[in-house]
Amino acid sequence: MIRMNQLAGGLCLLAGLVLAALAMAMPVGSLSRMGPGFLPLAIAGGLCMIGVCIALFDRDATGIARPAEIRSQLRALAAVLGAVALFALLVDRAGLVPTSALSAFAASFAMRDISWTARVTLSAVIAVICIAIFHFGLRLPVPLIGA
Amino acid sequence: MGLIDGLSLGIDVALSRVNVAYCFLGVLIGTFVGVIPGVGALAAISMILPLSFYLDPTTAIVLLAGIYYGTVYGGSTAAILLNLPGVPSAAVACLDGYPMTRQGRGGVALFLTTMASFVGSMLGLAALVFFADAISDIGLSLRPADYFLLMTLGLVAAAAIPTGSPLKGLAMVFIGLAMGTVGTDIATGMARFTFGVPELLDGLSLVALAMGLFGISEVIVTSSLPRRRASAGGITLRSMIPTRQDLREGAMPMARGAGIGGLFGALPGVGGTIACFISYAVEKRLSRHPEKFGHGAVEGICASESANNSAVQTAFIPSLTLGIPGDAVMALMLGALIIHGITPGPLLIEQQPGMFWGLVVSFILGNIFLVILNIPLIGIWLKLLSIPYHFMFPAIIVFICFGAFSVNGNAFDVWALGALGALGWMLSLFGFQPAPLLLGFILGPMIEENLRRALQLSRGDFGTFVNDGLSVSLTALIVVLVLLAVLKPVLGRRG
Repeated sequence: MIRMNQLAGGLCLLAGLVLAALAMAMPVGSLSRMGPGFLPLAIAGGLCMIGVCIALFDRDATGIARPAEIRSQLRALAAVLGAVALFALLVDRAGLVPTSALSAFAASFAMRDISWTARVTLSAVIAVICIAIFHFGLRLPVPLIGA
Repeated sequence: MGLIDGLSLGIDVALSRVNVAYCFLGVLIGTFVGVIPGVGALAAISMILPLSFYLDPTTAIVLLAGIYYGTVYGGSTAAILLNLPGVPSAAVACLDGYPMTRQGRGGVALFLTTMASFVGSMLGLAALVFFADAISDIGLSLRPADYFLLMTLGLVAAAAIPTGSPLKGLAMVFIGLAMGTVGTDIATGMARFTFGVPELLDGLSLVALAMGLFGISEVIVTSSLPRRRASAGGITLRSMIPTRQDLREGAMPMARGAGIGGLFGALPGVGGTIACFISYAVEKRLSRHPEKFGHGAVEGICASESANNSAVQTAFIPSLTLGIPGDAVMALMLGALIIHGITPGPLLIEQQPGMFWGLVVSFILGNIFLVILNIPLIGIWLKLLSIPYHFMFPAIIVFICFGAFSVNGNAFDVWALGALGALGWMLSLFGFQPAPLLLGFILGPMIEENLRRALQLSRGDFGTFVNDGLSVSLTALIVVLVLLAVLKPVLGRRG
């Protein structure tokens, strides 16, 4: 548990340092005339300090998942991110129907106890709902099939 | 504008066919989301956000606000019947609501919480109407330095007060502020952190961020939980009728709860969940039978549900009168207004009286809808709890993708959505809460603008943050909260 907090603090520190490096490349300006780099640099400083405090002092254990929980979530993570990526790839190329059906099919793998028939049916139902809402309802400028 | 003129204008706006329809849709979605454990108000509102851009701004806020207070009503249903809080603030309703169900009085508990919700909402709404003008007037006299301090206080309070680690909350605020700086700097026109990507010049997409942090990561976490076979039947209308003694015991706690909730709801960063716990503790202290609490005390559920709903209404006070959201849900609604081209602030009520009063009347209407949805139609929601609702998750993912895509019509926002979803999931592994991040992201540009103007006016002198009573006390509060956040774990280690 404690080690997770040290890792979390370390990540904050790292984020702060990267942000500081990027912010230094911009004009910082003066207090009365702040440049674009001023606030990012200040944020980076704060983030570094908080990161150190978390690593040294924080004993919080809320939300820190056990390895078993993480393992069970990895499958859902892969399915969901896969579905989002598939959507981003297809939406400009394949049209609304294949995009929604395929991405729903990919997302259905987030659930374990579901049959293949159910997956296919679910994807078809979701595609129909999407056509109704986004094509006929909101008139989204995406063709049903094709680019 | 007087109360009578305001209300009659509000009735014209809120009772238009479109606004009534969207008010009903909002509370319907809200109740649905509230009843189902695992999906919260933030996820629901961020999913509906892109759709709301197709609407007139008043209608959009009527819809989003309806989802917000609808979830609070619905959240207590699963808490009472199944001991599963549908939303975090319903955790208090479990304490006495579930014991009442086990004693066969679940129907009575549902009836009383709905009544308490209605009473709390109406008293909170009265406070909103009563104080809004006065606080807008104060808002007009505030300097950029005061606005900077007020917003900073809101951020620090949102990070430090809720449960979990205050240090991690602060870290999230800073990450959110950093994300808020992405895009073209308004004052200098320079592109910051865009890495040559043209889609980032307008900043990170609020819709992609909110849906990534709340929609995507909630689906990941919830869909991997073992499936619960919940059954909650046997609530008939007849079983919901409370006894005269129930009503007598519940009346004063409802009123006190509304007061406590109204006060805490209007404060930045505190919100309904804390108001629930405090009003519950107050009732337990005041009660002549404190031993009944936790075993089905009517006072407990009445006070906490009234506090919860009152807090939701008064949370609109700082948001609509100063443009300073107290929590992430409010921030999201203000973000929606900004995207519609309306700047929330002290001039909002004067410049958009139709929106303000229309919202007020729509809240009354929405609460009436909620009473109908939660008492005569309660059976529908109970059936909903017993169907395998996780079939919705793939649909939610596809809707979220469409939402991110539809705002600007480009696939880049969908990629951003995926990346932010992965980030949100990773943050949750380390116990980082995403809500302060969202608040920092939305308030960031406003904080920077006010800081810049404040220091420009004072020619770089930090004395402008401590030069009168208000700014001194705000600065002192910020310092105390930050010190508490840092020292709490240090002192806790010794104790």
